[in-house]
Amino acid sequence: MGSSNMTRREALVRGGAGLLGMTAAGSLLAACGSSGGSGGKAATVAAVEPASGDVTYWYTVTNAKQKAYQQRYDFDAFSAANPNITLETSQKPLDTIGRVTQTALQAGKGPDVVVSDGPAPAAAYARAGSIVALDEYAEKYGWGEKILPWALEAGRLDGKLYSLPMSYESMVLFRNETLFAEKGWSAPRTRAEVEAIATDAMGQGIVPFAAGNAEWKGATEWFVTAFFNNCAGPEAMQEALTGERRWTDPLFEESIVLMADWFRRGWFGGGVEQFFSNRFDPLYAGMARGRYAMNLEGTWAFANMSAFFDGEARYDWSPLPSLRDGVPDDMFALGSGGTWSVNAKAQAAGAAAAYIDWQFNDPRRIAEGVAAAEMQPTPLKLTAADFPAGTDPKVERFYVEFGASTGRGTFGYSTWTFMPPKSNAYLSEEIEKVLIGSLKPADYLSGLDRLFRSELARKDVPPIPPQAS
Amino acid sequence: MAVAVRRRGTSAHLRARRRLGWLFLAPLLVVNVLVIIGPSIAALYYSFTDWSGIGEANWIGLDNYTRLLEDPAFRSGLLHNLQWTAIFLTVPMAMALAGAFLLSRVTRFRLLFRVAFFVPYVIASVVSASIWENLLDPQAGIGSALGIPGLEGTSFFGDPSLALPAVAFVDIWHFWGFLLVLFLASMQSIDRELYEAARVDGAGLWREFRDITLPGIRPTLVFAVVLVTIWSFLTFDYVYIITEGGPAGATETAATLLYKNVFEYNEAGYAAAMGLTLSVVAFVVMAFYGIARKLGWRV
Repeated sequence: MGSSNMTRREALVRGGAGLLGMTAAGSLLAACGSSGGSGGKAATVAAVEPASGDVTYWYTVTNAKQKAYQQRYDFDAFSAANPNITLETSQKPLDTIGRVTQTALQAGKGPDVVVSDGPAPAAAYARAGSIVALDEYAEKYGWGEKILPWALEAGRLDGKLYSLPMSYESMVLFRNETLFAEKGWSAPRTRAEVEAIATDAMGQGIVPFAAGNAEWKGATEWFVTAFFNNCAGPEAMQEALTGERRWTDPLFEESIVLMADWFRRGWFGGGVEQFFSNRFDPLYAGMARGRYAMNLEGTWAFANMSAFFDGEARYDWSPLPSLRDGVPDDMFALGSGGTWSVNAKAQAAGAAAAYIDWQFNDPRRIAEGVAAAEMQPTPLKLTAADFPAGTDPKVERFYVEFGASTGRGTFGYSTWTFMPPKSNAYLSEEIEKVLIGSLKPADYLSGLDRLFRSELARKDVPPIPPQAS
Repeated sequence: MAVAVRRRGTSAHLRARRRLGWLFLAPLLVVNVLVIIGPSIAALYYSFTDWSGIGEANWIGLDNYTRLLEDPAFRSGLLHNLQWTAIFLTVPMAMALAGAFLLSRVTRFRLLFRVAFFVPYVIASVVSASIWENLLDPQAGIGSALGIPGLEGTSFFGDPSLALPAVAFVDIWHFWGFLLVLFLASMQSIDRELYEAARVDGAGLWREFRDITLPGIRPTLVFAVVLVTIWSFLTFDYVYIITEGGPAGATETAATLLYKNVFEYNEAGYAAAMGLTLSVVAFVVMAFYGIARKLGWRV
């Protein structure tokens, strides 16, 4: 359940960005370099150790409600259930945990349970020998039977399992249901319907999509994921991620052109410049007040939506419709907010693995976290029966539909989960230039393709789950 | 003979005093070696490698430096640093000079003014940045709240053409009080009789400022120019907190680019080369300053 907090939203700079001061970051990181990396080859464990000993864990949370829930039902409950394991937790700032962990691992330190931003950074830790292979723990705890296959497979490197996903998430289309009813709109099922609603909304002074990236630059990437998957399509995504199709393909160019067009029409946040200035809380508040009609965001936003739609206004969600003929409807992009691994320097690796298993060993407990504190669940095979009474039906519906849809083998791929690190950073940073018109979509995709090819050659791309044939 | 003994005694005394000096300096030197020189040497080494920030580093010679020369993002970052330097060598310097000069003539509440102007400097950059992000918010900021034409609805940090000066404005608000206090302290060391004599000769405020104040504080002024230039090339915090180098790279400086190369692009070796290049800029500025002093310039 600690998983609930490591999402793309999680890295928001709500507490203020860390300061580098006036010194070179390279120097700071270099200072930790001498004792780091243990030989350059991924470490392995000789045998599954008994689950006892001390375990350290650095975690991060987004709000007080989830923090209290996590302390009581995750940390305290784990300690009570495992008297031979002493769990020492340390909360880290949302925006710095990745950097702090990387620096600590390079110095041969860091927590026993290692959190990373996704399978690709975890693979980098594995290559550096900073984390151990988990295959024997996977066998011991039966993770193959518990965890959704795509999520488990994403953590493999050269056939060995190095990381487990902390959560699963997907992009969906939230809407102000009250506003929709008032205007006579219904949940859009096609691109034409989305465009019709957006045009109608703009005509009435309503911004179609609540969107902004002032607090989290990566928010722009959410839309790239949505347009790549729902316009180019999941098959094209799979082929591109496995190197069978170039990112310069016309399908991807069409996706980016469409996205940029919607931005330039002012549909996202009220205009490109406005988008760069919009902050999250005013967006949610504005949506609840009817200033914005829809919100294309990841399912981590359930917590925010329920917090802001606490008055008369109601919200609901639906999958983003297909944006091109031939792209399947009711399709979800697979996404994982972060991963867990075991530090190669852990004194009690077995105990660390036991804590990770704790996050997967009881679907009902995990589902209770969803119901009680809008925690994001770990990627378990959840069914409606796992959710307790009182769970928000909208939230429950997502997890059940997501499991069913992805179980049929039709799904998209979130870029933050399946893109290698450099390509992902490029994709997120440079798209802003496309939006302001200083970079052509074709040139943007050429740059992405060049970077992706080099990372693919270095085997930095995580395993890509195939579509059902 | 007595003289020789006294000289030996004096010499021994001097040596003892020097030893004592080094003893007092030793803790600082140890700290410097540990946290500055050591990492600097490591950074120098990593700048010749392909180090990702984790794991092993492979020697690649001068590749990072040749790549720097061809990197449009680094060139753009340096250009923004130059713009930043130009802004900071003019706006806050002029404000601080004028403010300090006027304040030097105030006798009542001088301390109060000094504290008031200096307070922004001691506020954490995260706090200052958040204050101004809210104040300049296009929807909920002062522009919209007061309905000020030109400010209402303007995305200061979201418009690529406004973002760099807007962030610089926030940093200036925080920084100029430091310069003011620096200049004010220097102005107070100028002999007051010079001003009285000038007044007797019929000099006005501007002539007093130009012919007495400016020459009187020249060493401090030059020192401030050196500091501002170096800091402008290393500027990071306000840019990163407010815009993270965006939108669309409009506020990207060399330091924010360096940071992204370490933690987003996993190019720590390349970032080390960037860091050292920035250090060279700082070194050149300091060298000019040192040479000027050696040549006897009154700076």
